[in-house]
Amino acid sequence: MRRRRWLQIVFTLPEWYQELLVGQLALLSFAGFTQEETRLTCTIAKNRWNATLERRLETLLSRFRAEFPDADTRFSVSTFYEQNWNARWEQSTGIVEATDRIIIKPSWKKLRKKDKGKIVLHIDPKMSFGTGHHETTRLCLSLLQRYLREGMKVLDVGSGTGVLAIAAVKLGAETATGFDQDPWAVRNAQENAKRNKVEGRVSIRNGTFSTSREKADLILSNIDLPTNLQLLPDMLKRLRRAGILILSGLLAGDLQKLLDSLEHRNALPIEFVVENEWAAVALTNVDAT
Amino acid sequence: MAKKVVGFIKLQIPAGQANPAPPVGPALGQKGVNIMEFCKQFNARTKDQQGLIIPVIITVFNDKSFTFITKTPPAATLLLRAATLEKGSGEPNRTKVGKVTSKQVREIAELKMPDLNASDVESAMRMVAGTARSMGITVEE
Repeated sequence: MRRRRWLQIVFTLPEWYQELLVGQLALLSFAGFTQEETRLTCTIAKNRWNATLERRLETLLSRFRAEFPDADTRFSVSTFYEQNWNARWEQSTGIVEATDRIIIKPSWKKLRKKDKGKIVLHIDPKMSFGTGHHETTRLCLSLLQRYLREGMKVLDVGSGTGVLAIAAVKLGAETATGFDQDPWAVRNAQENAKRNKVEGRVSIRNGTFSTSREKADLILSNIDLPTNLQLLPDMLKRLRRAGILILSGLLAGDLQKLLDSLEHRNALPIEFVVENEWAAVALTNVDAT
Repeated sequence: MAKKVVGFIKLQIPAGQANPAPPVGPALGQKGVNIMEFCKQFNARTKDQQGLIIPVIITVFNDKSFTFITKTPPAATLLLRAATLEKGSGEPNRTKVGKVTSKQVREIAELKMPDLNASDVESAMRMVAGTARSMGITVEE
């Protein structure tokens, strides 16, 4: 897979001019801005930058100069390739005790005596979500461990490193299918599936959950509240009878919003788990009546 | 043991959409911060402001942990919102795309004053009004 190329435009401007300019530059599809004292860096994927945006940038800057004549709006342009930006952090990570039965181990760490008998997930996180260092992954794993039954078919929405799909299979699922829109995460999850020798039962697809019509006994979605709410009807529809839906990536303060959205739906919350400010919930689609 | 601050990172990124790609990835990665954890927290905290660009200041500690604060959107974004527009004019001298009142300019100036090099609200208002004009937004008395 080819690495993505990025373009950066750098201005040297006092911070107050940066403040006035950034909101206008944001209209030109930049992915975001970095401010380091007088240095303002605007970043965009190279394939999104084109002659139209360049013209709009020139117009925007000339208008800005008309109002603020002493603003130096000259800029430099450079490009760079995507890389594993998380490498420095990764080096500082160790084994995570995700639940009482599951540990997450990066390839550069050795197992310890106390890890004997545990389910080991071999995960090199790179730049994907699901390292086990975050509460949301651990909460998901604890619910997965409790509700997964032998032979279940599992779907993992927003699979990141593949940690949950891999865990599902290691806990006894027949198959687990992950979906992620980020090609980098898909590649990373496939590498992790091989590392765990479960690539025959874990498949990872590049795309959204809605692009498939498969049904499952257990669906996991560790993303965020807006995405979970948006996908909820589809996820419930794709759940087999007496299936389990595990939602995570939620702030504990947002649980009520999720519960409100369950009204008039064939879904019952069966367990909540909370760690610090984060929460996860397990739902079932058994009819209450 | 007290943690020592080893640096600050200032970014302006779309609410609810942080991901490990640039600018977040390289900015946090070079300081050894867990990029994914920041993205998760930032997206959860800014999910109700989707569509807006949010300034965020991240404090990095010597154990690679971090905290962050988010600030009000930049002046131009607030002006567009006040004028209930999605974007500015392509030709501000000829096409006026919207208007704001001087009261709204004052509110934005007061809000953004700490970030502008203004000695008083009036000079902050002049900067905000200048930004509005450069975007094709008329300031009405």
